[in-house]
Amino acid sequence: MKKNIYTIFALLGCLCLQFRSVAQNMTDGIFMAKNNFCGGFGYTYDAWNQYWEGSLFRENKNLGTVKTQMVTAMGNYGISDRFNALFMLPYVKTEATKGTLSGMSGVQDLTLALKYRIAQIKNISLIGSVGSSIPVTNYVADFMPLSIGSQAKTFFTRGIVYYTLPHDLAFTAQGIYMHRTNVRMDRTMYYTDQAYFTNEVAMPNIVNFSAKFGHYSYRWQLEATYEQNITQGSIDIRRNDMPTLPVKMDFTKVGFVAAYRIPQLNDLQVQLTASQVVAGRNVGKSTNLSISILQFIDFRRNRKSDMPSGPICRPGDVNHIQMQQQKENHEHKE
Amino acid sequence: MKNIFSSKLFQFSSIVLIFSAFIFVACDKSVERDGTELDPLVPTKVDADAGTWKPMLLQSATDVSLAAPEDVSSANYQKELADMKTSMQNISDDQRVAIRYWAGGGVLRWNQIMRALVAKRNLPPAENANGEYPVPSSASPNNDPIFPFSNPPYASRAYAYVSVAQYDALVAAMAHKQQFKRKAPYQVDANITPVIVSKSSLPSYPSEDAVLAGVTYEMMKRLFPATEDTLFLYQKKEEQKWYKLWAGAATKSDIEAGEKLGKAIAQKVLARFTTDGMRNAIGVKAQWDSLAKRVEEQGEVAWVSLEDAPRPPMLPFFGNVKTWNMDFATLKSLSTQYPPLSYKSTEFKNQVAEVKEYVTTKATRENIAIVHFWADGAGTYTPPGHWNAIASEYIASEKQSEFRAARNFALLNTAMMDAAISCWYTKSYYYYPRPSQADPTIKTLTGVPNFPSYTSGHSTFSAAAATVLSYIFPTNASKFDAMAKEASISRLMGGIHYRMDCEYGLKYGALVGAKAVERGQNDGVK
Repeated sequence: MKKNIYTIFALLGCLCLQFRSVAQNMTDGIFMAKNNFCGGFGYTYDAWNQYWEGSLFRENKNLGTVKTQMVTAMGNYGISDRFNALFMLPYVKTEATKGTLSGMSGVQDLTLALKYRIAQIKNISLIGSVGSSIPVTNYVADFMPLSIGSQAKTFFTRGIVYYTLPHDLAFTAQGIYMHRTNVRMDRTMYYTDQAYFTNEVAMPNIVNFSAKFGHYSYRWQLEATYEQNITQGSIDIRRNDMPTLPVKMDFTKVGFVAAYRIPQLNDLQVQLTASQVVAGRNVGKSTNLSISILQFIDFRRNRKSDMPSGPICRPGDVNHIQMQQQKENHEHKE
Repeated sequence: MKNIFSSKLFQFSSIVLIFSAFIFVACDKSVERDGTELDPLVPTKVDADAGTWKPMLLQSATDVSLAAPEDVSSANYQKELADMKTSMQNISDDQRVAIRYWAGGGVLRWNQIMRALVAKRNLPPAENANGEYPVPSSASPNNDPIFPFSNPPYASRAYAYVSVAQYDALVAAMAHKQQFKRKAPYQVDANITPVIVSKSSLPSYPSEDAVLAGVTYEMMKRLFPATEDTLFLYQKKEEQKWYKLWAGAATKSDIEAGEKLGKAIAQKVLARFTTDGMRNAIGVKAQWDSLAKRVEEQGEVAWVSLEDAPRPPMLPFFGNVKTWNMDFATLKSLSTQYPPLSYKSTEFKNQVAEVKEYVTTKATRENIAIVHFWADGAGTYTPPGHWNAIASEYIASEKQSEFRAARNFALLNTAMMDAAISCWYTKSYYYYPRPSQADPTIKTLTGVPNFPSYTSGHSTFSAAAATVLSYIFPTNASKFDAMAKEASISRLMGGIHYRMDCEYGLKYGALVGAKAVERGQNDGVK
């Protein structure tokens, strides 16, 4: 019997998307210059003590606060100035402060993506990206909200518009369509919109939009962020039920991202993000904080070549770092 | 050399790639099989002697009488036959879908429907603003919390009553079939070729499908009285009742007599259903407190709810509900013959330590898979439902007749309801704390059920079910035994039961199951 099922795991959708605040390069308009690599680690702390059961906003005294911590390894390599390869791989640990349920931990999904600047029209970059994520361990998916992931493989395609404005201001908007493969659980029946006597779950796809605006220069970054997530389908967590993998997880999130490259540490970048879910459906009203540290490595054979680019490659501004350094030197002399 | 990545060709192909990815992902999402698929049933054995089998509640197979049908040569019958042919010529797509569905076997279909409804309604009520848990009411089933909360004891009772009613009704149907020996339409008129369904050699009056539809609907609308559920059940009843007419295998009078018989037998079963003690199974606070007090007076520690706010124990007096395969005195002595370890004993402390080990160092991925495979918690068809699913596979693959399938489900489900009664009797008698009460650092890999620990319900259900299924399918006995043991140990692996709960649960379950086997050995089924 063919039936559409529309659902997704409430917390997990959050998790997947929260990675983006760590691995900023997946969603922004910045490219690594050819033969440059930027890599590092991020730590994320996410917590909620109230959630939406469908549209009903509630607490659960038998969960208390659900905390998720993540350490993410990530990297971004410049195949060319306009074509980058990216990866990220998180380790996730969950716990609930009340009740008896055990938390879970483990290495989750490896995400690989390719990002390409399709066109540059004056100060506007049009960027396309495709990618995929695969679970790298056999972690438990069907233990929401304490499981660390959904075990779905994903294939996504993303469009990014990046607009650089005078006075080091920048605006970025991105949209992603994420296809998710079916998942097999340990149990052989579940109930969502109907009873299923199988361990197979169809995972609804995800549409996500986000935008940010603020200051972006080589040294500093301070931008306000906005994100809207929409999971396809219409399956809600039933009244007082445990969430199941294919629940419709929607949320609206606002926050900021701040970053600084430390001159004394070879321009090591420290990045902070904070965000708050302000509206949602089948998700926790979570507060999310992250810190990440990123370092460039220049693999160019001939660094004194005629290509005057630095590690960061902004459109129409390939020698951005040089300009930045000149500017700073100039200020220093004064 | 020009960089290939900046070429126009590459730009173009990347755009194509992105757009094709959108097309790829926009396709319909579903699972290919939802597990309800059944091939049309052609029984290996028709069981024409089922009218001589011993019913469970009826005094005799013809306890409920049925008027004799008109002869097939009568004008009325000939008109029915002509109407049936017209209906066959005008068959709709929906009717074909319904025929295909019910041709898989009515007993198996109703079992699936019931498991689905149990899962749908197996949700514990949420606490209200006063920190109290409202009790679902059959008098106002649509109000939150919707009636029923089909937890394991409730579910075991639902499966048992429906199975017993179906069995008795089908035995009666066969007795009347053999009494009247009315031919089927395709035996009267050789030009009739039924759609999808096979030609049964059995007499046609009354229609066994209509009997099954009538009896099952009457039972299930009381078990699942919310309007949404009853409307769904009514639609299924009507489909099953008429599909043989749409298919050209039964006439209107076969069907109407069948439904009437089914309904009348349901009334006999309901007389027991409404007076079996279920209404007193919840109890009141003073009674719950007395269970704890009794244990404390013996110097032991009493169970407390680990939920916040504390939830009353689940149906603590279900142990007093009327049993199927033994009397109450037998049940009481059977269910208290193995007392648990004393809470203060060293052996018990060792068992707590073992639970802790299972949820920490021994919490392997393989073990968690076992825990979750058998958990059958809230939102599922419960452990009795899981064993119905297992039984369904064997019944379907053996292509058992409707009559035999009903009898085997009745043995299985009365055994499991008795197991629930026995286990709940034991649980309330010893009122033993859960591992996470004994050691609050024990964090569990599945939800802690809100009732006492000793003995394990899963173990009791599973051993009772495995004992009955091993009697019915003796060549698979070792498989059922292994499944029961795995279901049992899964509760220790999950951190919600001690080893003693699991091991003695299996022992109790086997004793209860043996009583159902005794019934099976004496019901005349060969």
